[in-house]
Amino acid sequence: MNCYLKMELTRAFGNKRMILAVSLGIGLSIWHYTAYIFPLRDYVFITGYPLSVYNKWLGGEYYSLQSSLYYMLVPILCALPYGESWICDCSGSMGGQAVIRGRKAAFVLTKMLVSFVNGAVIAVLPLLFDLAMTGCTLPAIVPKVGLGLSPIGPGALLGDLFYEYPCLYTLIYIGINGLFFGMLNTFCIVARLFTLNRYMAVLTPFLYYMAFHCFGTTARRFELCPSGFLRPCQQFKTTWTILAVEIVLMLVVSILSASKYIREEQGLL
Amino acid sequence: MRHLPNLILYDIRFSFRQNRIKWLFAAVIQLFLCIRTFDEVSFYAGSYDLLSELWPVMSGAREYLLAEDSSFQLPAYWFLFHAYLFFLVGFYPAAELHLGNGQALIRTCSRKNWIISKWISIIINTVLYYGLYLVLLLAGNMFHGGVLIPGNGIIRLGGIPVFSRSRWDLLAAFVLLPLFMSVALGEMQVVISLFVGPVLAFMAILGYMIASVFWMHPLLAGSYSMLYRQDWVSGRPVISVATGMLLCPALIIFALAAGILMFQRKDILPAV
Repeated sequence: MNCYLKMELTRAFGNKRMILAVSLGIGLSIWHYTAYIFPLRDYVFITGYPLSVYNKWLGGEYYSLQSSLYYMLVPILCALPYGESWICDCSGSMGGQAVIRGRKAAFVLTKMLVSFVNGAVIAVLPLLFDLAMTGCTLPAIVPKVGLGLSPIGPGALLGDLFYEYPCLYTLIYIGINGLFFGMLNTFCIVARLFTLNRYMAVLTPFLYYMAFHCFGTTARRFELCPSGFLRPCQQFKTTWTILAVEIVLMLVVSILSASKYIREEQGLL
Repeated sequence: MRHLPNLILYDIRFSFRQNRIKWLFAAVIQLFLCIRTFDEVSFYAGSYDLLSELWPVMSGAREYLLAEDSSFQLPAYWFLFHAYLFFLVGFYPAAELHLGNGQALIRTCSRKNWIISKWISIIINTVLYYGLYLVLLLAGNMFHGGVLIPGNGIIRLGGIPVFSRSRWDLLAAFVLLPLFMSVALGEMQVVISLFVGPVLAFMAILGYMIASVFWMHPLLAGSYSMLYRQDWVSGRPVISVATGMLLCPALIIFALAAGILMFQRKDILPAV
């Protein structure tokens, strides 16, 4: 398992598409910083209560284009570096070699794990970068409930925590983002169940994500839209149950597909 | 040139065959949109007419005014309708080139014919996508005993007065301009996809559409497909039907010319 892990981690993180995906994410956060944060540097204390980093960073607001672009397109970014690998392994000789030289179960599980880690890292890095950069300009003032400066209500998910320990809240929420997008990224592996087209494999996480988004926004069930509730500012309010169900659903689908791949008799194809 | 008609027929047939599951989902999505649309029309208007039924999908969003307390949201029906179209049409040419071993390109012996044929197949696919939606709406309209144009001259759902507008004006605003915009962006997407890959091209087009919702600018072509942005609805001359009718065909021609020029020089050996 260790040699698989080392090999797959190198494949996932050491390619040009990884650089492209991270650059696009960080590029969005730099654009956000130059458009919305940097111009505020002289106006931090101009209002009665100082501007806070927790209400202004990329995940802390839902009025900017960059924030919307990021949360709409992040599943594609996550799938860019490693999304095609399983399909390529199945159709090429790489997978066959790996299975002959070791255990198939270990190889499949490694692919799932690396896909998860790769997705989580790509989703989280730009957010952390933007939080750090915004933190260099705006103070980390604890938001006050009554002032209405923050989009998060006390009744929101972890709302009380936000008004007491905003840094902890933000880090937990970024962690939830990493967990969600990591799980979502394993759908690139699941995709081989129904397609051998590598473009479709890369887009499968996005299609799943958009299915919830489109159904939620058209049927006015906004609490189902991950593109809204995954933002730390909680554009759409959700509940722990819905969040858990969406994550568990992805976990179950990934486990079932992994077990199917392991049980397949005819090699990887 | 004798290969071109055969190639066009091949592309039309093969693009449908390769996308048959996507077309099935397209029908399901459009049916869903129709059901939601009829629900909204019955709730807000009471009487059925084709313009009111087209309104929820084609209206898009009003101009977004950026403020500290504003919330940027994509118009759900509009976004679903157009994003799925780009998903439907944007992958076939690159997949045919990269995943199908470029057989059609090899047998045509002409890169120019190959890309012209793809250009035509995108137009046909887009027209059929819009056609399918119109057929579904018309079927629903007939089922509910509705009319094509509202009798009192007002599309009640959007509260927009359509007095003194000819049928041609309405057809251009509600159907032709969005169709031209979709064809233009679809063609651009395909040209981009041949160079950076279909996934990145799809992402770029979605980003462009989202930017069109965020900013109201004549160069952001997505705005032309939103009725709320058109001059006769918004009252602002930034996005007019006439400008759109000039810009979109220009973009379509530009996509073809750029595609031919760039594809002639593209190194396709690593891809094939």
